[in-house]
Amino acid sequence: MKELFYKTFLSYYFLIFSHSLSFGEGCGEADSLFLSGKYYPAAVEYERTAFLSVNNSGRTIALLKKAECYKQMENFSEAEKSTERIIYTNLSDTLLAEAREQSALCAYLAGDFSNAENHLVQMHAFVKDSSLIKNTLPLYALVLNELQRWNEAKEKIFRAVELSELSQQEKDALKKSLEQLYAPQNYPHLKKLLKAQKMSAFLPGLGQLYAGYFWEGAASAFLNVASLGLTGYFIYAKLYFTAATLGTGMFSKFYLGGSRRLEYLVAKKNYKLLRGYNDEMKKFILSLK
Amino acid sequence: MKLVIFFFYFLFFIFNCSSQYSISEELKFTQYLIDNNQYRDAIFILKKQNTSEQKTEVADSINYYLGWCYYNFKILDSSEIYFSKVKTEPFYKKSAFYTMFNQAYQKKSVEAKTSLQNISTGTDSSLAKLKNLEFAGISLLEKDYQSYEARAKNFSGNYFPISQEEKNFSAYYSQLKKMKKKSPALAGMMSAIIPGSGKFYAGYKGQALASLMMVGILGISTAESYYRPFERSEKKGYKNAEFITLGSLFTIFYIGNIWGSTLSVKLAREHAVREINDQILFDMHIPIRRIFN
Repeated sequence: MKELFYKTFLSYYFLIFSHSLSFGEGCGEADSLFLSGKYYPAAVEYERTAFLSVNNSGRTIALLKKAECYKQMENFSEAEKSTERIIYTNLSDTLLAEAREQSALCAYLAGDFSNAENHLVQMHAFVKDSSLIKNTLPLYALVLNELQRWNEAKEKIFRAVELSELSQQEKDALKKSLEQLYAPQNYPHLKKLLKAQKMSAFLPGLGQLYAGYFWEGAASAFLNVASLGLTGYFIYAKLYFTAATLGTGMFSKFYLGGSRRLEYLVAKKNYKLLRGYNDEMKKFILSLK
Repeated sequence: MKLVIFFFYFLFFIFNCSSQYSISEELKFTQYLIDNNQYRDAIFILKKQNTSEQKTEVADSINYYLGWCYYNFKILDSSEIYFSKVKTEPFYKKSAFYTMFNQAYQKKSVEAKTSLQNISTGTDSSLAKLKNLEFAGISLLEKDYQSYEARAKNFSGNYFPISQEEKNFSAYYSQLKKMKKKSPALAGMMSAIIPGSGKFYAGYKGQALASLMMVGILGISTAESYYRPFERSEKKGYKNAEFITLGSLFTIFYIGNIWGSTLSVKLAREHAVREINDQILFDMHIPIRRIFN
């Protein structure tokens, strides 16, 4: 009877005790979920930890971990949303730096480069400990690359190399490679929309050719010539009204349509050029980390 | 022995209390998630709860929160299901009105009316007024003007949360009543005589002008090619290539313009009714939010 009593008592005690733990220590459960690859349930548990946190540091850590879950799920916009909820008051320098870096990284991964830069600017302004900010310099360079501010990006990456623990010889070798990569002649030569439009205004199809779309240019030129030829034919056939309305109407449609199409083509070409250059830079910078 | 039994009962009571505390904590957490617009997370937490094992009030809270999350996600069919499961206060009346609204939004007027009928307002005159307004809204959505008129007689106009909507409903009613039944055949005939005029009659003024210009230009060009045959061509006007080409184009656009005009009457009416229906639904929704939130 006594044995039964103690067994029952212990089992009840364990049940009650373990039950209360599940609320006091959400982070432990969240961590184990994260480690077992169950990222979404882990994200919810981290949110619970943020909810139960008694101070801003605990809440910040939980939100950072939640963002990490979303990063693992490759849902970067949700990761960014999580970090955007961080309140940057009463945080230690270390946690502040960590939070800003993660926020910047999530914004960068979500393609929100201006926001990423904003976080990095604030971090570099408010965190005085250079050992905390040096790790963010490569990310800063990547962000500035995307913002097409290559000179500033070069500055940041050079500083990162300078602050690294490499030997002077290795640093010099890296700097040399970076000098080559960041040489102005290697910058992507982005196409100017106004120039392309002026070229097409002068000779239909020329703007497309300048943007790097030969067949689009040829098609545009052909359609413009064909509609102009048709107008000419109508005049020749003394169908003046038809020439003035249908002929010129068709010609103006193709002529102006080609110009409008250039807006898309130039943007597409510039995107490709930027990606080509920045992806190469990204590979190199990530190899440094 | 009695002491031992009493002790176990005591422990069981404590454990039960702690279990209740846990579900209340879960509901607090859910409320926090909803306050922070984390609806997906809230649904995840709520779906883990087994409502059949909970007390009625707890199960109702879970169903209410689920209904609310799905409502904010604009998944109205799921929202309706969960709201309709709520049977006790403090969430019953709010859930019942939202059930009705979800049904009305999904064009399930019969179910919406039944849901509304089943809401017991008791002695609460404000809810009775809201109920009357919602009935009037459903009647307008159904275009059941007789039923609407009967409901509109009860509009007081002096209860702030719904007074503006009552006025709006009266305006929509007038608009719907004034809406003429336009004839597609007449629109087609008008466009046959003056291209584009059928579309103008339907209410598409811009399209009417575009049609008139396009068909007009092609018509004049066809006439020009008929009366001015190519000098070197020995063929008469109707036999030359220009006339055949332009005439074919003109015919296609002319017939297309007539056909388009007949269709535009129906489309214009549907568009106008849909716009008014959207406004009715909006005005059915606002007072519910105003009163219950």
